[in-house]
Amino acid sequence: MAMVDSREKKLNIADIANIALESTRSQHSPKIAFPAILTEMSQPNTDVKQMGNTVFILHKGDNGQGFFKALNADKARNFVENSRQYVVYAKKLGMNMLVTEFEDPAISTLFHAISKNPPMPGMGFKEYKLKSGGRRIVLNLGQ
Amino acid sequence: MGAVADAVSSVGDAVSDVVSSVGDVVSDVGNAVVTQVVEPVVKAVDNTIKAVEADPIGAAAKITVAIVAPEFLPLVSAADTIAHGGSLEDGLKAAATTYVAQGVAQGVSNYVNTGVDSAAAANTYGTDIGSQQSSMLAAQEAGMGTAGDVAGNIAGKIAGGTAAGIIRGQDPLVALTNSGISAGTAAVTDQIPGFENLSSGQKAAVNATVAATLMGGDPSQALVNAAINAGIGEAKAQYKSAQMSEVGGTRGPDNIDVGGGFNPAAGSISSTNELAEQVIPKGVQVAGPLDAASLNRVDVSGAPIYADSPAAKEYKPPFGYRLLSSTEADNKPAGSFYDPTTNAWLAPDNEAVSGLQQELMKGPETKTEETKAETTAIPIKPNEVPIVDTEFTPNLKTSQEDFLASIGIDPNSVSNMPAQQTDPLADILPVTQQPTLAELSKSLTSTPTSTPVASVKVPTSSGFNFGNAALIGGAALGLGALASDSSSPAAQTAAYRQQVLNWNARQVQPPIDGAAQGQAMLDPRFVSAAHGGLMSLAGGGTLGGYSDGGRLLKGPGDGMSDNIPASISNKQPARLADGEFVIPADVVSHLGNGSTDAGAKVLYKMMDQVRRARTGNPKQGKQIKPQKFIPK
Repeated sequence: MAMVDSREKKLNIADIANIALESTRSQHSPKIAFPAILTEMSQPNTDVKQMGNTVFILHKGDNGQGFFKALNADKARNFVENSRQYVVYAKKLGMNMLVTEFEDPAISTLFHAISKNPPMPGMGFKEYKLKSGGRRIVLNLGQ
Repeated sequence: MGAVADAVSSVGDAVSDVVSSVGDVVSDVGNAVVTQVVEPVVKAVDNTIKAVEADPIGAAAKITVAIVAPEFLPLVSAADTIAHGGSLEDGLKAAATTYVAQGVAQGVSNYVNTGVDSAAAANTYGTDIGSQQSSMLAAQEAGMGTAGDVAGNIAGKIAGGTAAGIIRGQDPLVALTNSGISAGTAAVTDQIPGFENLSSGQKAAVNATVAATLMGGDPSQALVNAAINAGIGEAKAQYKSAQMSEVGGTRGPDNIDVGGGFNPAAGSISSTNELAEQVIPKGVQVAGPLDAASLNRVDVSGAPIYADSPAAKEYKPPFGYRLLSSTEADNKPAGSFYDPTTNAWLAPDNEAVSGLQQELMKGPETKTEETKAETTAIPIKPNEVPIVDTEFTPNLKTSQEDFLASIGIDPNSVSNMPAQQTDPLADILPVTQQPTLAELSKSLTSTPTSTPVASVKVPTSSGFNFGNAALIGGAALGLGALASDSSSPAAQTAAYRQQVLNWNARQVQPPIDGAAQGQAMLDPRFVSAAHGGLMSLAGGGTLGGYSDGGRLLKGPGDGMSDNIPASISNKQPARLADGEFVIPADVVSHLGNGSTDAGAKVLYKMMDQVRRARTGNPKQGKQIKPQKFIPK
C-alpha cells in the first residue's frame, strides 16, 4: 500500500497500522501482526499518539524512560516532521529517554535527519548494533 | 516503515559519516528499558501472535473486542483489511460494535492475555479453541480465579462467545449479542445513578428493563443511551414504588399488589418474581439472581435522614440524588420521595444527572490533536541523563552548510548566511506550471516582463548530482515515496523536484518549436552567451519563459554553438546553446540566501568545482570545429 501524504488526507489509526504493517519487513504477516499491534496498544502504561499519518506507540517505564515504535503511513518527509513533533510531545509527557529498535539500518537515517535540526537543545542519540543484527537507538530528549 | 527504508536507502551513504556510534556494545540504559518496559509487552504480543497462528479468527475477534481506549474504535472500521473473508469482517465489526454498545472497557486488557492463552489451554485440555471453556481453563492456570469467576468476566463472556460463534458458523452478531447480553446489561446498569443502592429486587427490575432495551435493536451507542435512560427511569420508578409502599400506598407498579402497605415479610419473593415475569421478555438472560431477600433489609425505624439532620454527615446519597432538608420534605417538592432502603428523604439532583447524561451523549473522544514542535527548553534531571555519544546543539545553519559542503563549496565563503534554513528547491515550479511551447514562443518575440534575472549555464552531463542537497531538512527521506505519487499538484511538484535532484535522469521536451526558433534566429540583436556567466545583470531583464523555471535547453547546434535565440527584457538579444540550462533568478537568489551576487558566486564556484572534477581545469574547454577532426 502506498504511503499517504497527511497534508492531503489524514488517515485513522487502523489504516495507518495496516499500511505500516504492509510495508514493514516483518516476519509476521499483517493478519497476525495487526492483532498483535492492537494488543500492544492496549497494554498498561502505553501511550498511543498520532502525528500526521504516523502512529507512535510508547511503553512508559520508570524515571522518564520508555520504549517506542512508530507505525508510519505518511510520506517520508512528513515522517521526519511527525517524529520531530513526537519527541517534543514525549518530552511533555515527562519522558527523558526513549529507546527503539528496528532491523532495517536505513531507519537510523530518520534520527540523523532529526538531529540535523533537533527540536530541543541537548538532544542526542546513540546507536547500537545488536547481536541479533538489528539496531537500537537510545534517544536523549535533551532539555 | 519499509517504504521509507527503501526511500532513504539511496541516501544512506550520504549520512553514514555522521553515524554517531555503531558498535557491539549494548548499553545498560537501553537494556534496562528493554527489560523493564518492553518484555512484558513482548510477552503479551507473543501470546497474541501464538493465539492468532493457532486460531486467527477467534483471536482477532477477541482482541478487537478487548481494545480499551475509545481512540482505537476506528481500528474496527478497518478490520476488513485483515486478510480474512467476510465472515471475519462481519464478526469483527459486530464484536466491536457490541463492545461499544455495551461499554465493556474495564479490565479487558487483563482478559486479553488470558484469552489468548486459551489456545494453549485448548491444546492442553482438548477443549474447543476459542471457547469460553478454554478461556476459563487458561484463566485458572493464570491464577485469575475459578471458572465461575471468569464466566463473570464481562469481556470474557463477550469475546469468548463471539469467537465461539464465529468458529461454529453462527451469525457473529447474534452470537455476540446472545453471549453478551447479560454482560452488557451489567455494563449499562453500572452507569445508572444510584443503581448500586437499589435493593436486589429493584435491581432485577432495572436489569430487566435494560436487557429488554438492549435486545430491542442493533447494538449502538444510541441503544446504550436508550438503555441507560430506560434503566434510570425504571430505577426512579422503583424508588417511587418503594416510597408509595412506605407512605401507605396500596399498590406498587405494574399492578403488583404488595399487600396494602409495605410488608417485607409477606409475599416478597412471589411479588418480585411476578415483577420479573412481567418485565423480562422470554429468553432473556438477566444478570444477577432474582433475589427478593433484600427486601427484608428495609428498615423504617428511627427518624428519617434529612439534609439538616446529624445523620446526614454519614449519609452519601446515590449519584443523581440529594438529601432533602426537613423543611423541603414537609413541602414535598416535585420528584422528592422517601427512600426506604436508606431511611432518607431524597430528591433528584437534576444538575448531576444532566451532567452525566451529557457525558454519556458525548461519545468517545478522539485523540488526534497534534502537538506542534516547540523549541522551549524543558529541564532534565541530571541523574536521568543517559550517556549519549552525540549531542546536538540546535544550529539552523547546519543544513545549509551541509548543502554547500556537499557541492564542494566552503560555507564560510558565502556571506550573509541567515540563521533560517531554506530549501533552495522550494520555489521551483512544478512541471505543470512551466510555460507551454506557445507561451515560450510568444515570450521570445513579445514584450517581456521586468523581473531581474541572473542566469548561468551548467554542463548537461557534468555528473553533478544534487542528491546531497536533499538532505536539507531530511527532505531526501521523502523523495522515493513522493515521486511515486503523481496524482496531485503537490506530488507533481515533488516529482519535479525529484527530476531536478536526479539531474541526469531528467527528461524535458524541447521548449522551442521550429517556427519560433527560426524567426528568432533572424533577430540580429542576439549576443553570444555560450561561454557562460552573468548576462547583463546591470540591465536586468528576463530570458523570456526560460526565467520562469529552470529548463534544459534543446535546440540546434552543439554545446557551444549558441544557436538558440533568447533575449533579455526583449531588448537585449542573447544566444544560448544546446544543452545549456537556465537557472531562474529566484533560485540564484535563494542560493545566495537572498543575494543574487552571493548566489552567483555559489554557482560560479560550483561550475569551477564541476569542471575541475571532470577536467582538472576550472575553465571551460576550448571551442573546436568538429569537422576538423572527422576523418575524411
